[in-house]
Amino acid sequence: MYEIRLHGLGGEGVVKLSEMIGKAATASGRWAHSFPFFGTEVRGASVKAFTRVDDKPITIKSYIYEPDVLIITNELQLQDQSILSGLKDDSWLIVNTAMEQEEFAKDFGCHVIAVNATAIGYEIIGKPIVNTILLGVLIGATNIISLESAIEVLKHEFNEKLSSVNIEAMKKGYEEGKKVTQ
Amino acid sequence: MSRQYITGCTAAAEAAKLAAVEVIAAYPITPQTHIVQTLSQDVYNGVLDAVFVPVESEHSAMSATVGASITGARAFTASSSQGLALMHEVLPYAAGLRLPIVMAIANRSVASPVTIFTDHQDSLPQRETGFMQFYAESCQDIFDLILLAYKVTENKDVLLPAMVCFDGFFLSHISEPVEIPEAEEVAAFVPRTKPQYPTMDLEHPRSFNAMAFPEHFEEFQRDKFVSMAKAASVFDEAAKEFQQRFGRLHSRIETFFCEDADWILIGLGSMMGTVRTCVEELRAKGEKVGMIAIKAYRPFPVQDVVDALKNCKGVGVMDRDVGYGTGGIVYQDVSRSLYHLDKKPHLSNYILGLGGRDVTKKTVYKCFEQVKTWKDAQASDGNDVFWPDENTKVWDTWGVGE
Repeated sequence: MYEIRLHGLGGEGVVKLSEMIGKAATASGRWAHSFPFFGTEVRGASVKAFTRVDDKPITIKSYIYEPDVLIITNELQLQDQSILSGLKDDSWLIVNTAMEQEEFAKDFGCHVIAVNATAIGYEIIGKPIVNTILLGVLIGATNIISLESAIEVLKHEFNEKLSSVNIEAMKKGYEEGKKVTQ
Repeated sequence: MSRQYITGCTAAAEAAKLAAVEVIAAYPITPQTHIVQTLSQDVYNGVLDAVFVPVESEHSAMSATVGASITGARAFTASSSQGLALMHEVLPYAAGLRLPIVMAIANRSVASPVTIFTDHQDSLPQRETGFMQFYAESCQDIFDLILLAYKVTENKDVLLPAMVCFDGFFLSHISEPVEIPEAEEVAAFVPRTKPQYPTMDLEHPRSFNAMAFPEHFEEFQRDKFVSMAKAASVFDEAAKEFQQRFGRLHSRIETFFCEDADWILIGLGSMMGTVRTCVEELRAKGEKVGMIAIKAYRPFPVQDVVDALKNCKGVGVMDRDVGYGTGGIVYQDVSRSLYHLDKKPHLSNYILGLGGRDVTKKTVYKCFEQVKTWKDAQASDGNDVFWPDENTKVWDTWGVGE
């Protein structure tokens, strides 16, 4: 079972991203569930979400304390180091940051991918959209789900115009993820 | 049949829609709101041919649902927490009038302190209102149990209302794959025919809700008691048909690795999914543990619980609720079930997960550890209730001492 925890700010599409991962996994015949950390919903407040992916039905109904993948949609979140809790040696830490990979990948004690998703968002979508790009990074780095199933989900989630730019952005993220792992 | 990735609230709304409910009267409350929001949109958009009655309180919601049901309409509502508490006065009317109402409950604790998070402190105290109570462990359960609830409530041997309860957020807001059958398949399982029970009929006027004097009142209660008992076998029959049609088997208790288990945890709701995961992990290490998820809490499956527990050494009852001055509410039912056995397992009680506290794997392991070492003789002072996940930092908030 793959356990993914996501941190970011309300409005950045953290919960949506957790759901898109689950949907893509389900679409490709695997099992998944996703849910936000339960609280009050406020734009700009810290947000946490969780996704599990497995080859069999998932019964556990508890938060994720030792993630295989930790996705941070906004590097400001790192000011609170407690969000890194539970990372294992072989966990993946995926962070949206303007810092370079070499500069950023310091002593986290796990695999790290620094990606400037905000810049990619401006470049391709024309807006600071990051969640679909980070979805691409996740797939490129881990292959938890297939790129094809994610493309199908985006086609279903958004209208034609939005889905085409988001798919392009996701593919860019996918290359970024692949680059680090190669 | 299609597999959809949806939340628990959407699964509940989808079940009500496919059951072709005719009247929905509801008042929004977190974490239930998405259910009635979805249904009100479906009615507005013409996807669901029903009357949606937006009322000014939950008391009115249940009153309107009762009124609709008396006319023979298939009625549905949903609530949580304080909303369910406000409904309380009307609940025994629904049962006493023998109305086949189905109500979804997204479980949320009750104030004070104010909380929007889950435990069973809202629905379990409603257990003696004459409503049947079913508890889901997954979003699929929510969908399936609502259909089963209609099948059972409308059976003429039962005619008692039902609550389908599921943990707020942990089930209401989680997205999972749920198998959704076609509308015709659901219609074949819960066909909308002319009600077989007395309804408001202008050709044959009747009086409803008349007064009963002492020489009759008790028999009305006994009738409900008997019907509630019959609901057990009616549920089993309905579950058999459900399995034939949809391929999934539901039983009033779900046992997991109980056959040769020495130590068993039993309880309700979403936390039992986590217990299931822990049982798998402990079994892989060779530990003889098992678990029981109670799906039908009212009628309480006494004999099934006895059969599943009689040969083990120790049982831990997990209560996501608290009975002040006694113990957990489910504990009372489980201990009552085992009392008449000659050879009983040791029995202890765990109060946990209140007000949305996460029941983690660590907490479940702690419960199993305690179950293994616990001996009833230790309870000579009646102290068999444990709080395995208490936060000692904020312990004794009111300075009441130990």
